[in-house]
Amino acid sequence: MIEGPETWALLAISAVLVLLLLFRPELTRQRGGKILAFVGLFLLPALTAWAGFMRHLEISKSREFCLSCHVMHPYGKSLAVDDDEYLPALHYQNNWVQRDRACYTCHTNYTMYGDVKSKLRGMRHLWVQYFGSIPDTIHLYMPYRNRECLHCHGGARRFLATSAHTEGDTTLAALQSERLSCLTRGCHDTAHDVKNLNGVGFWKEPVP
Amino acid sequence: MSEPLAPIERRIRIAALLVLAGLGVEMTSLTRVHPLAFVVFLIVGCGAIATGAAVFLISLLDMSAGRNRSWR
Repeated sequence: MIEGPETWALLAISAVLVLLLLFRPELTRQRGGKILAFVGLFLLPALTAWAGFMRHLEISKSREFCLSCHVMHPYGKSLAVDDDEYLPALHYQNNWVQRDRACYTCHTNYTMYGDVKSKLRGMRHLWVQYFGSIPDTIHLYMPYRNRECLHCHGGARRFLATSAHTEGDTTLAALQSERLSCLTRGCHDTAHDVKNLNGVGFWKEPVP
Repeated sequence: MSEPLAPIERRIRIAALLVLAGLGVEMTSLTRVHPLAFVVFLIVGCGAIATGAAVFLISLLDMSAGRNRSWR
């Protein structure tokens, strides 16, 4: 069950009021009953629906949500690869991203959150999942942006101390302006690499 | 013997049933972590709640229209 005690409390209170009006509609003959009906059949349900919507948005940021579709299972598996070259695995295993939000933290530009375009894309994913044909290779809609990396790494001491990031006069500026991708071949070019997971070792996450 | 319900009260009962169904769908959808749960909540749950609220608001209008007619 997903947390969010406020949402459950609102649901419970709304349900109680609605049940009262369902079994005793004659309460609305009085003025107080009309006010109760207005709160119980309009205000509270609207508030509860809104709380539920916000709760679902929070749920949609979780790793469990992303991996709930079968097609995403290899991507979840790639987070346990025992190889520092695998960028998502490196971040996940070292807690550089919150583990239960690992997908959302890096892929904030197209998850079921964010701008309307991202939400519509999420709906398109659902449509393809159930009514379309899933491509053999899943690609990003656009190249992965340095913004998602520099959001955390930009200005960090270790990032600036790495000679490859600051060699020459133009490398850092090129990274910051996205003329040079962090995922350039020879740099951080291994992401999920799901097609090659058969030959790799996996880190066994300790059970708390 | 209990008094029969007025038509407006029957409508309130229908509104309550719809809202309750919507709340039930919302409750169930929150126990599942899946995109379909979100979609079912949006379409079915919110749809039922909105319809129930609309039925109730229309019954309020009818209540006030009925009062105006009897006043004339």
